[in-house]
Amino acid sequence: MFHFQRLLLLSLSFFLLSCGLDGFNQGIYKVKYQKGDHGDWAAKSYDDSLWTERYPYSDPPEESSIWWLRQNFNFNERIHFDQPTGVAVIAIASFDLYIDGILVGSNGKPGSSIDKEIVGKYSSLFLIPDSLLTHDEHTIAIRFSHHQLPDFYRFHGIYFGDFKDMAKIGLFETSMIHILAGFFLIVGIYYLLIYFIDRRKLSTLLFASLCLSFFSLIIFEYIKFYYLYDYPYHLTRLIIIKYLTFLIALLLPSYYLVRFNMSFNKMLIIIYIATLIFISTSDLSFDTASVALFTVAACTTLVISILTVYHKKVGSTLALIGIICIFPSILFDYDLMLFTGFTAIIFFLLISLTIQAKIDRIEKEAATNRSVILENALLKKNIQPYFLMNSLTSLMDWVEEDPKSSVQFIDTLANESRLLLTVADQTTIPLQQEIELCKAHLKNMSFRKNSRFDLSLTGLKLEGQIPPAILHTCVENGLSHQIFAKGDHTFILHIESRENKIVFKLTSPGNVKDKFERKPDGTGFKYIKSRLEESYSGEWALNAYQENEHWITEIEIPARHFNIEVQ
Amino acid sequence: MNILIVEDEERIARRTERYLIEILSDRKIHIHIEEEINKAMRFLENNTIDLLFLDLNLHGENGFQIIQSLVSESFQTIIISAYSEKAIEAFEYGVLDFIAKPFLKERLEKAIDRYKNTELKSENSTRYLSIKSNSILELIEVNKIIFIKGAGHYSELHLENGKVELHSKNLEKLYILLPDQFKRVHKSYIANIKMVDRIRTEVGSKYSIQFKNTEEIPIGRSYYKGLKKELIK
Repeated sequence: MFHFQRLLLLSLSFFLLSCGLDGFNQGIYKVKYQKGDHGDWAAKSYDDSLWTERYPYSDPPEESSIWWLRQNFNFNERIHFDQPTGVAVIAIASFDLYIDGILVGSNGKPGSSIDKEIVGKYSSLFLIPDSLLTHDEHTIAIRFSHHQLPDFYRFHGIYFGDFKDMAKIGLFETSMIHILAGFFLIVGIYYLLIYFIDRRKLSTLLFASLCLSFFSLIIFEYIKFYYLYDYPYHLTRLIIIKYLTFLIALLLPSYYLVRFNMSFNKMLIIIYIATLIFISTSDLSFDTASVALFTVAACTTLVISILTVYHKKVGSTLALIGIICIFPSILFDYDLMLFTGFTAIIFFLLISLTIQAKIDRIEKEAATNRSVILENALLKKNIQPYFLMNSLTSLMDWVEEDPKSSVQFIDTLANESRLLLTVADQTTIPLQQEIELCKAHLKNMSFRKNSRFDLSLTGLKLEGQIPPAILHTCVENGLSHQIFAKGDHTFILHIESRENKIVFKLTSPGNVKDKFERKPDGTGFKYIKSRLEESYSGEWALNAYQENEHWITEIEIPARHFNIEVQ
Repeated sequence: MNILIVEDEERIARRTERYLIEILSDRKIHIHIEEEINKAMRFLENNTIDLLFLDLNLHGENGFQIIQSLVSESFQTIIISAYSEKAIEAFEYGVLDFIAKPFLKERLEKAIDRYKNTELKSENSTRYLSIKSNSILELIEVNKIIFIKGAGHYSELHLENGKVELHSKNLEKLYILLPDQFKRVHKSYIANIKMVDRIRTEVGSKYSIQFKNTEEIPIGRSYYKGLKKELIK
């Protein structure tokens, strides 16, 4: 652990320097500690050989009281004495800072107890007096206490450099990064609004949360550059960052799972979450834990993403590219590239979402078109030559020969037309209404054929909805493709259940015309099939066949759409 | 006069029958009604008719096949149908008339006029004549006919390619169906004017038509003047 932390510290300092944090030209990390408080401990000449030398991030000084740390140093060649030179201290402490015994500045005020201490900032910067800017060896001494955060001590380092540069350290990167922050914020709010106002899809909520988490992470990571907070809040900040990282580690793979409708093994989920918790609660430093969490999350998401591509999910390739973009940041320059990696993920996911939205829209339009076409087909039944022109021709004869009955005929015609108009724009209608429609048609044909056509229901008594005019079309077919001797004819609609389907069996009581005419009416069946597909998507069946001399039509519909009335 | 009505709705059939009796009150007619095409075909095997009224559902494909078969027979065919948009196509096959449902008595009268009046040429053009040889239907493009020679109850169709086909309708019946380019030039001949090369005059005021393929037919004296006027036009 110790060596790893030292390695981490070194690499972090490299990052600081290589990330363009050029202000810190020289750093002191190893210092000597002594508990207690004596005025002459500031003096250059004081012998501190018995003091304990420590690296930062090692075990905190036990017992909170006043402590001193000291170190000897020479300014290196990167310090230019003709420029205002500053000394920065990043540590969890309130302190007085001495160079060569001279008090250069104070960060808060150290005290022997919590009441006596005035809390200082986590990061502070002081101007070094010109008189101290020489190439001789100097001694830096810090008198400090940290009663507000007794169990958590961090000493990041003492830094020298150009005062102006140090004052604006990290501000440029921070402002650039906040462009990305704005991006995440806006995208996150937008999709959150979509979730609450438009449609509550879980994947939308996850995506919005992911964006807003990225946003929050940027804010808390970079806040240290523009808001110098009191040192106790450093722990708070680190804990918040840890929670956010944990949250992101949860959200990222979850989003990929939910968005692409992947089935998942509950056991794997539990193992994953357990891993995350284990990492979070372990002894790892905050930064190591973060890297570990992100790595685990990224790898898991990568695996899920590859699976989605394998299963040919729409938009999965773009999402895969997105997650691949995060890996360079984990492997190389962590901090800055992490956020550009996040941007890549969101960017590719956005493209993927837009494509998805377009596909959804086209499908919706197609469905509306189909709906309109079917509605038209139904309405056209009313004016189809076979129906309308023949009815009118028949009516002519009624009017001439039997005016009183012709009025009845007109009423029956109007009734069937009225019913068709009522049901035309519905996707499904009550079964009762459909039966009414069939009976109306049979009544019409009774007038036309000078016979009596009737419909009798046998079998199960059902309640439920079916697509409009499908039974009506079967009755129409039966009448047009068969010969009926003059007299009474009863159409039989038999309802039974077969496995998990309801079967509607319509028997036409006429005699099937010779095979010349036996081919089922193309348009009629096409209409029935379209309606069935619209409502039951592949879970239906339509059969027509001859049994003895009669024409049978059978329609199968999933049983779950109906209630069977118990006798 | 024998008439066959093929109509599956009894009321409509009875109405047509009623009207026909009124319209054709000047002669003795016998009307038979069948409600289905196959039964009608069987009736036709054993009976001869002069005029057929056929209710046809032209929405399917069978309709036109049936028409082609029927117009090859010796009787004239009138189609009655609810599907009026198919009328033009029906006329191309040589039906005498196409009546759209619903229809008034006057419309039926007009169709009967066409039957009775051998001079009234159809406004619509017949494009094909169908002939039946050994139960095989053949469609003959009317433009390929050079002339038609009457042969009793039948007609000989003399074609461009030299072939001669026999049609069950006599000359008068065919004449009403054919487009304007076909003229009666002789008691026994109808000529396709478009195929005429020249008119030849012979000694004794005998006239003949020579066609582009060098075939010749005579021109009847009473037909000559009218024909000349037509040719000058």
